[in-house]
Amino acid sequence: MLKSWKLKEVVLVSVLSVVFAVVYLLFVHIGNLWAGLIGPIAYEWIFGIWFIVSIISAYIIRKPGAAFISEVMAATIEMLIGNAIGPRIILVGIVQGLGAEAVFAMTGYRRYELWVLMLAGFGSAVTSFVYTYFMSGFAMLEPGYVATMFGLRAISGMVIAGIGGKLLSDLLLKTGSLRGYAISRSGNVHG
Amino acid sequence: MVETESLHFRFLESSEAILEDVTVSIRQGRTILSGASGSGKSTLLALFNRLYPENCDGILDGRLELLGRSYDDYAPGEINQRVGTVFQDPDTQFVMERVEEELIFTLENLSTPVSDIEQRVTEILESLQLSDYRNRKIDSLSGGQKQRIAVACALVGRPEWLLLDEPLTHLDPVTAQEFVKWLDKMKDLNVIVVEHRPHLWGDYFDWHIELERGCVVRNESFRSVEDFSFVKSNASLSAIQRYKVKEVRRDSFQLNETVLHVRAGEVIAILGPNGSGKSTFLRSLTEHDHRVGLVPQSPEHLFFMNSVVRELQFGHETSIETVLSDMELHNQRFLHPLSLSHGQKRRLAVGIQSLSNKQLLAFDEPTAGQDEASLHALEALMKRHAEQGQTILFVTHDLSFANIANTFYLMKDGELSGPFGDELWQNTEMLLDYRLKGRGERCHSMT
Amino acid sequence: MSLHDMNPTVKFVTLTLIMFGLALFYNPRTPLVIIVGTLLIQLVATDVSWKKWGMFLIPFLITAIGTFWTTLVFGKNLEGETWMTILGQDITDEERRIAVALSLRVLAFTVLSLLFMMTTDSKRFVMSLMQQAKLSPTIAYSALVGFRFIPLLQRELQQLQYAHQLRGVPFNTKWERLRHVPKLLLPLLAGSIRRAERIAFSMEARGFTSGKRTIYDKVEVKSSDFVWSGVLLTLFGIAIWAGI
Repeated sequence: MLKSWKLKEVVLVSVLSVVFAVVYLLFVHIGNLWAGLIGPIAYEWIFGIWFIVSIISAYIIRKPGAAFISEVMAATIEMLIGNAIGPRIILVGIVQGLGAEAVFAMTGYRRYELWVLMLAGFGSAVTSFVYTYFMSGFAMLEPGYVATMFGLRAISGMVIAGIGGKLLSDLLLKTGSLRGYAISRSGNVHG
Repeated sequence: MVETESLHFRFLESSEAILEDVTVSIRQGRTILSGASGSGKSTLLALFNRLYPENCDGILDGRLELLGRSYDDYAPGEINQRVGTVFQDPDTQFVMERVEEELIFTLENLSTPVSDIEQRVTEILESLQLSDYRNRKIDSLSGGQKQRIAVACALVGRPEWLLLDEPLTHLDPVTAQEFVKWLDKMKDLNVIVVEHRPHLWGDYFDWHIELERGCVVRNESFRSVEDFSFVKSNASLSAIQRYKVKEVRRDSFQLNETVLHVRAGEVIAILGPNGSGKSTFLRSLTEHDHRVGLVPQSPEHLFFMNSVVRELQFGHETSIETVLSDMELHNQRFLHPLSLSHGQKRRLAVGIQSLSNKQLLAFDEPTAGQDEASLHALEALMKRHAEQGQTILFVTHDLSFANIANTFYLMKDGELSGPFGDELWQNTEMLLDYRLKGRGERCHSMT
Repeated sequence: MSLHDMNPTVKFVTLTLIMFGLALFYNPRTPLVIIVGTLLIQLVATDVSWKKWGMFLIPFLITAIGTFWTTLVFGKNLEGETWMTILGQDITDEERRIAVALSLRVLAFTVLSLLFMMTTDSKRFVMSLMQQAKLSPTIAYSALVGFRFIPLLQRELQQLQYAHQLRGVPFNTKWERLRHVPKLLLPLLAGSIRRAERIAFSMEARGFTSGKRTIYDKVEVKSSDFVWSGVLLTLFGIAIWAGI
């Protein structure tokens, strides 16, 4: 899968992950306070932040594996930085990455319109929710409450990761820093 | 070592050629590849170590032979066993945390047998007199030290050839001079250096190739070159203004309080080596006084809007049309500020400051990495604003460019001294003391 | 024989297995035994700073509390004696038991994760993944590049904040700083992308490829790694037994 990648694309993914990891740290404290007050649901509405790296990477690099590898890379770096979620985060990364990757694979890695990116964000939300459902024992919660959590996460995945990821990447394209990556050749520069 | 014949190169997305009909033959010894930004010199270097055309969507035509074989005859990474490269930016050349690990990383890349690695690391550090750095954290080193480590990493694989891409850009003049002297000690090294400021290298080179807009305009034995020249500002000086620069204390560093008396129309240069506190001084000056506008070393740090127009309109109601045309940015008005060229970014930064009616414009290291045309554009920009009655103050270690100033201050260990006039250039002791000039260097020609 | 020396990949796999296993149990005793056992191991076989450990634990304590009452209020209705009544809702003993179990599970995960995090050197873990788990060197070294990139990024972030402040963007309260984050993100990303390219070029210029390379610093799998693995899995076994 990695064979067709250039080194600069892999390093790009790594560096994007770091930027979001640092930005994420700015938000994480807020999330924690909420979590004490309103329980695990506190994180659901910002969950899309976790998926954004894989959406942006896939949208920029446009190669098989971009969504998956970037999510795993982001998780690895998150752990290296010392995220106390620890080794589990790598599994989370794998699971989330697979969700988005599956969506891009279904388009044959040919379509990168907004709806595809939103669907990829939704894909990550689905797979990651299955994981959380199992690990956090959501089977013991009221189905209505679980459905609300999932709804929030799905919307967050589509809005923050899908729409947000596209907006940010399109802006980056305008700054000229993405010259030499697939997104610059796509022709939808102003789309 | 390199043979090229009618080499053409352009990027896929643009129709403009980067290299046009380049025919050169580079033999053993020391070669300089000079030219302005965008002349194609760095592209040519990237073709020599085969970073291009693989890594960019580039189209290459013509013959290119590296070490006796056609470039496309090498497997990925193969040429890098025989050619070592040092780049411009000391901060983006390393992967590992410590010097030793970095050298090991390089040897592992080259599939050096594990049993040889320890010895190879020791050898290269000894031969370059860098043994003391073996266990240092790379992040804690200065720019000059990092560049030496980069050379060690390039040489540890015993290449036949060393390529250096503007390695002095981020070094102050004395550090740069020491670096060149240190390189000069390695006698049997084949070197190609990309450089837009040849005079910094003295008579280091044997051969000189110069590019201009992708074409070879010089291909001859090297003769030492004079630096670019700059003319003193002659804007008329008027009312005296007083600026107080507050004290700053940080762990081991202290900037002392100073009061500056400057005139409208005056151009002031603040000189001193890296780490002497020049940037801290500018910060303290700008932070506490609303009359001061700062143009950072990377002017784009000031930008956060999505178009030139919105950037200029931020935070006030004044019309921006005059500034747009003054700064020659009307054709760029809807572009993203971060996509501008360096010169345009600088003008935009100055434009932003003009709109908030700053009386003193402070530039942090505006000369670093700039080619001749860009330096002259900067010169003109500063002089124009001085003539309009603003005070211009800049921090630099470019002594040639400093020549445009009316007044000089020197900075060392957080202590500012001055003002000085042109008599400063006769005061050899002082120049040595402030590391503006190395021992045994002829005094900078200042007129 | 300290846990610090245990092969990172073996440690990772062992702890991950235990965490997955834990997710199958809904009684409070299993996670409780794991927590106590892990702390004992940490006390005996490591020299981690307990103060630092405590700091890392705090946010997860908060999460555990959140989990506790969420499960009480939004948990499935289970038969049993009424324990207490909140907001007109009867909460049975069984429901309380589940709530305690789930919040203890959060803490058990945390304690296991911290055991790994505080006894494992990041670089060694990546190298071990490369050598034992066949992680591609391209990914491994790119991840290290990212890791090294952080101080550079922090400096850049400070410079940007400072420059924006000079232009009159307020940064006084936490909220003002947070609100400006989206505007910092773009320049930060644009600069980072350019740097990423330069770092990649440097690596290639020094002969880095995805192919063959020698390994100087070997991370080995020793028999003591399996002993540790056995100890940890035995702890899990005891925890399951305690829950029956």
